[in-house]
Amino acid sequence: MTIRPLPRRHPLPSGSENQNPAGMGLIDLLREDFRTHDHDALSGGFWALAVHRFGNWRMGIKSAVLRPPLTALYRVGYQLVIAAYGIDIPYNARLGRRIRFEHHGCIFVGVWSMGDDVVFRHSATIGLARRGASEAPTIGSRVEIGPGACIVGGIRVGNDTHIGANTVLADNLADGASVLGNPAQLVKTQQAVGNEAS
Amino acid sequence: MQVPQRLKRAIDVAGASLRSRVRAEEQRASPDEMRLTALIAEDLVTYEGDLLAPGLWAVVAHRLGRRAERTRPGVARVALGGAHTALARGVDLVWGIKIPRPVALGRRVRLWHNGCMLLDANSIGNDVHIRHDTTFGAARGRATTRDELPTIEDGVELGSGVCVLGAVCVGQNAVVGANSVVLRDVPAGVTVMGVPARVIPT
Repeated sequence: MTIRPLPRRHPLPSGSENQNPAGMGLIDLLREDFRTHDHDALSGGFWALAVHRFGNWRMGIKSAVLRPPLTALYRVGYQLVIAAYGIDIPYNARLGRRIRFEHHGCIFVGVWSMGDDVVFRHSATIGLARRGASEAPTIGSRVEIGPGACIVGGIRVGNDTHIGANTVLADNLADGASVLGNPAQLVKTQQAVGNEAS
Repeated sequence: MQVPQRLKRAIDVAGASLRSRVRAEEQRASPDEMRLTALIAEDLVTYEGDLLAPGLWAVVAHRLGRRAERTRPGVARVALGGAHTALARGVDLVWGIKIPRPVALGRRVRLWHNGCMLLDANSIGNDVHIRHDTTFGAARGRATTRDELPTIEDGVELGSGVCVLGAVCVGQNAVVGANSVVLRDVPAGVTVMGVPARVIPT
C-alpha cells in the first residue's frame, strides 16, 4: 500500500480566534440570523450560521477546561448541519452579518472573508480554483449568489454584485456588476445602461 | 563467517529492487485484487483519516458491495451484501451520495465536500477527485447496458456541479471545470469547461 502526500488544507484564516462580527454578542448575532431567516426554526441556513457563530465564539473562550467540551459540541453540530441540510461552512471562514440562505443543499463556503447581507441559494460553491491552490475568494457586501454558482480562486467580488445561476466566476468582479454564464460574462444591468445613457 | 562487503551490498541492492517491484505491483493492483482491509485502510489515508467525511463512507460502502459480488455464496457474502446495503442506503439518505454497485471504482478516489452525487459510471479510475453536485449517467433515459455510461480514467479532476452524460470517456489526468456538461470524449491531459464542455487552452 502506498501513501501519497496529503493535499494541503484549505487556505482559510487560521481560526485561532473569534472572528464573529465585532461588537455583537453570540445571542444578539443568533437573534439577528433568526430574523434574517424569517423566524423559521427549521431553515438550514439559520442552523448552519448558528453552528458557525458558535464555533467562532468558542475560540474566544481561552479556558483549557471549558473549550474542549464546546469544541466537541461544535463538531457534532457541524456534522449534523452537513448531514441534514448539506451546508458546509468551516468555522474559520470569516462571515459578516445578516447572511441568508434561501435554500439548502450542496453548499460549500470556503471563503476568506465575506461582507454583510449576502444571499445564497442551493448548490452555491465558494472555494479554491484547483486542488492545492493557496487562495480563497474575498466577497463583498450585498452580493446575490444564484443556485449552482461557483466562485473560485483568490478573487475579489465587489459590493452590490449579482452572480447568476450556474455561473462559474474565476475573475475579479467590480462593485455593482452582474455576471452570468460558464465562464462568467458581464451582463448589462438597468443601472449600467442608465449610466451609459446619461 | 564474515560476508564480504561487496556481496552484502549486492544482496541489499537486489532486495531493494525486489521490494520496489513488489510495491509497484501493489500500486498497480486493481481494487478487486487487494485485501479488503488494505483497500479500506488506503481509503482512510486518502481521506486524511477524517472519519466523518461523507465520501469516505460512500466509498467504503461501495467496496463492501463489490467484495460481496466476488465472494462465494455463504455467510460472508450475505454479511458483506447486507453491510453494503445498509451503509449505502444510509449514506444516500444522510449525505445524498449514490454509487450503484456495478460501477468499477478505482483506488484512492476522493469525493470532496458533502453530497448530491449520483455516480453511475461504467468505471472510475484511480486517483480521481470528484466534488459535490456531480452527476455521471446515461445521456437519455435509463442505461440498458453499462457501455452507455461514462468512463472516467485515472487522475481525472472534476470541479463541482459537473455532469458527464452518455458513453463518453474522460481521458487520463483531464481537468473538468465547475458546472461543465461533458457530452463528448475528453482527450487525456486537457482542461475542458462550459456547457457543452469545450477544450480551453491552459
